[in-house]
Amino acid sequence: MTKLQLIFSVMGNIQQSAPTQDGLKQVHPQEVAIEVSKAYDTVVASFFDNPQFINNYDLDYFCKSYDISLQEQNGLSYATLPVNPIPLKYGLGIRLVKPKNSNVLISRMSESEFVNLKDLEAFCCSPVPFCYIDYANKRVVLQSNRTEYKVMDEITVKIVVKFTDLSDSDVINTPGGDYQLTEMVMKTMGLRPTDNTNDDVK
Amino acid sequence: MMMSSNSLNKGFVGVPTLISEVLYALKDHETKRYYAQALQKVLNAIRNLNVNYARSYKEEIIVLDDDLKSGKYPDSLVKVISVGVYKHGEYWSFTRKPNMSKTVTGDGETYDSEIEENEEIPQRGVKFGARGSNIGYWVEDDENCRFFVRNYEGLDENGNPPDEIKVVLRYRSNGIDCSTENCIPYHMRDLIIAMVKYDFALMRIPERYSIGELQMMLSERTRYFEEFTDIEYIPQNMDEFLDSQFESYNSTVRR
Repeated sequence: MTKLQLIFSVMGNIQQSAPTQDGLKQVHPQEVAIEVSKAYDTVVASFFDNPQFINNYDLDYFCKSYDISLQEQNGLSYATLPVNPIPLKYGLGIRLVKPKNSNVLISRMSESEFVNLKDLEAFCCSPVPFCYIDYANKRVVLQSNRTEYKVMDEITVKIVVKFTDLSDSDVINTPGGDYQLTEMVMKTMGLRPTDNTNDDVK
Repeated sequence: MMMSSNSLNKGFVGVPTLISEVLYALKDHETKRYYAQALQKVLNAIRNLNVNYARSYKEEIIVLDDDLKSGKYPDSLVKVISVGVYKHGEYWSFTRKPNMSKTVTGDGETYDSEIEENEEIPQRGVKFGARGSNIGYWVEDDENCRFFVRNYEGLDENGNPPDEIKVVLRYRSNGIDCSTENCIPYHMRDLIIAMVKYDFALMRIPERYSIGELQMMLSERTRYFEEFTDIEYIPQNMDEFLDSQFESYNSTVRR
């Protein structure tokens, strides 16, 4: 199911669940899209809130993979994220960071953890590079003491993308199937935006 | 020694393999959330075992400073065992002389090497014994991470002074080398995993364990430790074997 299909599916459900609504005065899709967006992000966050799911990378249903070029500025190596990740626990809205053409792990940590850790041997002796997510500047910052990792020019990032950053044709894979996702979004929305059903109130 | 990550058929493993196994034991192999902490704990365990329990030591050739005849400690040094030279394939250790002058004069001032004040430091000792190879003296200067050698000029067979004086430093290393991948003996592997896993368990990572489970982990750790020390102290020749038997014979009366 694509993003657009999900929005129209929800709209259809709203129409069905509000039979008194004037069929000629339909809810504007943009208004529904905003509500679906909020509900979708919440649904995904609650899905990954389960410790069994957040630790299970077989369940990366909501992920999209991106190859991003690395930039260098003031000795800082970073990659600007093309989309916003949904903020999940432990920064796992970004599920994987690795060099594009390699299977070397780039270990994630929080920025404060990195600041506290950088003086430990674990940093200078690490066989893998580290990175942290700079949410404020929407980028992945890489840190490595090893020269062999400084030749990286492109990284692959798997991101649980925010609904607003998905394009209309982006396919949304879901663990319980399309129908269940629609149901969950509807349920999460609770208050369903409809056209003014009080037209006939005098 | 450069180690491959997939050294399954070798007697040594590298840190990447060890970390993967630790994360697997912590059930963190998917998220690798504890990678950095696990790596630090692994390094701590390697250091602990190397410093306190392993029998191995490292040797490094050190070039002595021209002025003070001092040598710098290697980064991984924990304790100097001895200083000496190799002659005809045999190690000749110098004599440790703790009362030998280090860098300060009798007035408590530092020798000024620029005016060659250090030359006042007397050469001590004379050749002794039937084989006059062991003529040097050495003393450690731990506060400044260096050692001093006296009475050894490093003359070649023709009696000519060398361009630079080299000695061999034998020392107990912490076993960690930041420039290359660390080389960990296989019999240390299980022990390190058990040590790190137990450390994490005490921090309730990845979950809170019962007292019974903790006790079981501790027993497992102890068992691996005994296995490690058993292999580490296998007598390597008949003399060592007899020594160990003789010791046990003395302490345990057999009838």
